[in-house]
Amino acid sequence: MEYLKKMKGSTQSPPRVGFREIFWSWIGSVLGIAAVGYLNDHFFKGTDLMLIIGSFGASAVLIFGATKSPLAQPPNLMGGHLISALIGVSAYKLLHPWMWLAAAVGVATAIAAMHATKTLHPPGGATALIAVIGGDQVHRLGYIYALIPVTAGAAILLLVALIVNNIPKTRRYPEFWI
Amino acid sequence: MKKRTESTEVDLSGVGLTDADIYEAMKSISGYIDITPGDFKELYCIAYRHAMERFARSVSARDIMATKVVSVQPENPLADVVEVMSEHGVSGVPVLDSEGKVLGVISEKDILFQFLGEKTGNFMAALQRCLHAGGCMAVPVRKLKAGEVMTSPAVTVSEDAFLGEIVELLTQKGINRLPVTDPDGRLAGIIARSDIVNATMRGRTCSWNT
Repeated sequence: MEYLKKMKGSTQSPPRVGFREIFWSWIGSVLGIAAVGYLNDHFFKGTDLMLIIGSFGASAVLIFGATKSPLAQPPNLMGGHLISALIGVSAYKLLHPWMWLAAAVGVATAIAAMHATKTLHPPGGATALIAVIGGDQVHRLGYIYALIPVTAGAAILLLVALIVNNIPKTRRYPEFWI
Repeated sequence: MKKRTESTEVDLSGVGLTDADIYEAMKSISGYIDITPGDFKELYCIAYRHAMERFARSVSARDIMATKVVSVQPENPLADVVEVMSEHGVSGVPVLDSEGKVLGVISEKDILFQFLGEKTGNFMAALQRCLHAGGCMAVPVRKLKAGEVMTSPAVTVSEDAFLGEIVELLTQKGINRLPVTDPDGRLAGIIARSDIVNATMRGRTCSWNT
């Protein structure tokens, strides 16, 4: 019964943030994703490379929408994406005959590795998954995927977060660097 | 799950932190805080317990005791004891032998009981019996000496005793002051309940980096 009781929840949800916070979350995200998207469209279109992947949308939620969260701090953003990309690519290379298994092992191992290195960043799970199910363009990149788009894109997001999140008096970023 | 139950058992009666307090505090911080009020409370309770344990071990009798102590000797007449106490405005004095060792303690209560002709028990009950009997002072109080009035042996602590130990002693024995003795058993100081209040209220504000 203790087991079922746990499913009831034990506390209340945190309060809703103020209007200013919502405003600055929007501004930061629009600038961050715009920067990555613009560079992608103008410098990477037509090449084998790309700069934007789906998991950056999730990173934007954290680094612009939950700036205080440990999950949103620079080591998590950069480390989480890089480690997960390397693991995702490896999982594809080793297990691609069984795509479902490659996807599952890639994501799960990425989470474990992020935990172990204190770089847990939820979008890293998506970064690992994209390395497996992202199609031919991603597969052709091989381990380059970890550098471009993953590390380069995350670095651009980090730069925008540092610039934008410290403009309003009520915000600051990051909480820690290491 | 076990760990969770343990931490919620921490006594917060003196602090009275409620979920509503936490919710209000979270609202006062702009920005999304990636934690639930429940998690915060758990963290707070554990952190508070750590802080109290550290505090109870960081302060020793030596740090909070008063070293200028008014004392009497066992052969002093009770009148002199009363005079000393009233002069210095204290509600209790240790009784020392010629070497400075603590033989006992005389409190206001000990003296009042002498006037009622009883030694222990409930003071108000004794007073009531006394009033019904139509007069007290059955004992020739004037002839009494400090050594006969004092509560002995005295409960004492060493200078190295930690605050936690001192608080426990005062509470357990239901006493208000505790003589502090050096390794040879000689009086080094005294701790009254008010000294503990002063020690615990020192620096009790919360600050954080903004």
